[in-house]
Amino acid sequence: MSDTPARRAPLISILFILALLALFAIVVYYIYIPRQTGVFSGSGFYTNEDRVQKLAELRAKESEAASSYGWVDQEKGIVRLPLDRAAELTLQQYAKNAKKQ
Amino acid sequence: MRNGFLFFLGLFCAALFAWAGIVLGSHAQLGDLRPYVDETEGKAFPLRHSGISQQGQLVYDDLGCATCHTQQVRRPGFGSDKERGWGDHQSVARDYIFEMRVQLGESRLGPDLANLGARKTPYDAEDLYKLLYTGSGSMPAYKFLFEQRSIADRQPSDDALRLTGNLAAPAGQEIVPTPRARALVAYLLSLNHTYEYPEARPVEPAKEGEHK
Amino acid sequence: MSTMAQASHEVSEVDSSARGTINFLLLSALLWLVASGVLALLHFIQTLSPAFLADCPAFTYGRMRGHAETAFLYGWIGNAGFAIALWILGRLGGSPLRSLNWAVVGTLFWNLGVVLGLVGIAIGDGTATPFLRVPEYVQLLLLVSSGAIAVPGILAWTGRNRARTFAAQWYAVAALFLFPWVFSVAQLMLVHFPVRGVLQAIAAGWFAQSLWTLWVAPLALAAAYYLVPKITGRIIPSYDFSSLGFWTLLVVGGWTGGRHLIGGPVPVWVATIAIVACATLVFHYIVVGLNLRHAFSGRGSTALRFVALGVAAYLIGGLADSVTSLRMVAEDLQFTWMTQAQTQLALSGAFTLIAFGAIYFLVPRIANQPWPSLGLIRAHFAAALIGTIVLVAGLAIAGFAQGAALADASVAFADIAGKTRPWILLATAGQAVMLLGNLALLYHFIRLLASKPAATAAPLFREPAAMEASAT
Repeated sequence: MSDTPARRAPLISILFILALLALFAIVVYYIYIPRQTGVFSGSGFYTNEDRVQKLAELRAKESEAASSYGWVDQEKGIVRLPLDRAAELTLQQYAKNAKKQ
Repeated sequence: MRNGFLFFLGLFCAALFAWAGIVLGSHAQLGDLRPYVDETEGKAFPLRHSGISQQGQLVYDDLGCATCHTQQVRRPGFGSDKERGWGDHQSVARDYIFEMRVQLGESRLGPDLANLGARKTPYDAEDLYKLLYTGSGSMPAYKFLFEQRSIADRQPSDDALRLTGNLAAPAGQEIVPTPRARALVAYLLSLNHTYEYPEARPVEPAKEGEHK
Repeated sequence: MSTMAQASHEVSEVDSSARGTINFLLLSALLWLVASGVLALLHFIQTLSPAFLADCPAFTYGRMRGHAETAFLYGWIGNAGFAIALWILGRLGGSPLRSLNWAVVGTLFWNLGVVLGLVGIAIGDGTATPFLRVPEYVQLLLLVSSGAIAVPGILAWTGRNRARTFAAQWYAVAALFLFPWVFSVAQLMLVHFPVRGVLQAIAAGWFAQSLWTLWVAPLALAAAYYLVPKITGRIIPSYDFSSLGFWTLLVVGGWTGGRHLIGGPVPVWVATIAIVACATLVFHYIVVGLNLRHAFSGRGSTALRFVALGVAAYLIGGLADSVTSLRMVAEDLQFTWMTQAQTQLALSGAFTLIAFGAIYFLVPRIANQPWPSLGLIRAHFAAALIGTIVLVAGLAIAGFAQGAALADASVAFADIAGKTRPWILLATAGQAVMLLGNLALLYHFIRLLASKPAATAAPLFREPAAMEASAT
């Protein structure tokens, strides 16, 4: 049993082999990560962007209803008034009633 | 195969080919699955799991329940899943989009669990706690998911298991589920694939004389 | 003079220089083989009697499956496969292996990883992904260790003496590259950047099938393609086809990933392509069968008999794969013990038996002494033959019984276990017999390592069969 000297390959070859062994994972990483989606993280109903948009729509509708003139029912003669105007009219109504008494 | 570089390239492309085909291909198809918004019900399905049932899924995962239980219902006509009451229609990919660790399972030593929260004769939490504590048939008992503690001088806990006979706790003691048991049971009760998505409608063969 | 030349050809510096590393790998492999046999036996006992070890959270049924599978796949198959690959690449490369210290350190950390993996599963960090049940910190350790162990093998390929290469070399070097590739990508897509929903099941299926077709099967075939012509002395008949068989396995193997997802919540094409791929692989099995058929001519060498048994198991397994993947058959046999039967036929049958043949062949050559006892080898062969057949048959019949009972909705679920019980008992007996045989091999190997050579082994090389046992 002769003592054979330990054989070493140049470190650069070994590093090259380790790089080749890692190559597949690196390639897959660059192909997959841009497309990664993961567990679905939305609320389940709407995404956060949807929610913000829906809230904005709701607010716009409400503020429109509270600050514009329009017909609610033209046949019966019911109209929509801005809140401020409705408050003025109500105050005038109360003032008139108070004067009458 | 004299040329080492070509050989290596061949190995690389062979491995990449199968991966890209199966994994990347199906990812392109299913990677962006979103819940299905049902206008008439005003909800989106699948319903999102609560936090405790997500923890329960992790308990299910590390205890290896998928070794004996599947969570996939096959379509009627392919196996006896519907006849056994495991589900009226097949599970589809959309059922699993909220799951952190999908537990489809590979063997049915125990019944399929995909619709455990929606069985015709429903389970409730107490039934499941008892089942986990005592085991049944070929299912082992999971006593380590429970703790036995003394009642001392307080009221018995609401969660204490009501057991009789030689399984009951000794006098002055009660058996309560640990947090892991609670999470697991919450998860099991949340398992529900009953919503019928457009893609899950069973394909009925056209009856004779009918137009499709 | 010719005998001395022959002797020096048989035992050269290539073998003796690698002795320490390969002995380390093989000792670890055999220890894990016995350990995983014990764990598998305990797991079967738990199947038969669920109360066994049920109160111990570390050994609950699901985790015990993880223990047995991890110890067998990464402990036994990993170590033995690496040993075989390194030895074959060293021998066919024509010069002693370089940088073996990388392999030694790699083996140390690989085994540490497997131990940590079992501990991790026991404490609850494991997952339920088949073949990937170890915790994620262990997965990384195993990945890096496999790269370190592969270094000398790949160096032997790139630095080989002759330009011409042999089938055994292609398979061995392919396995050394493909395992880290497949393993790292599986970790990427299932653990670190998980995919959404059922894609996890598809990726896990691709991983499990790739592990078999791209890692374990090539290791077994490398050993078989080396040993059969070496022991029988006859060249491989259709050698030109062997490269076609090789590329078919590699290109088509990964596509069988959807095999267990038939009827599942995945796109239908995933399952259909798996069925087609299993059918296409039949070409590969035909090529392997044609090329290795001389193994069955049985010329007295027990190592060859092990290899022949393993090749037979490989071919039968391949055929069974293509049949059971068909929808008609999968309808009944899916989710039954048949899946386990196929896994055991492939891993315990094909790979393990061929690896035994390789171990019985290579150990005398690197230790420069024969096996101490022919009786132990024969006993091991009998135990492996009987045990494997009984195990696989038991599981398969249990699968049929379970499948028939599952398909019939009038059979209450609680009754199904009773129907499979006798066959699982049979499989347990088979597993126990296999364990006994493997204990004999472990003992025999340690005895060989511990003993000094009785006489110079060189004269024994005149008769290779005599290398397997001393004259006493």
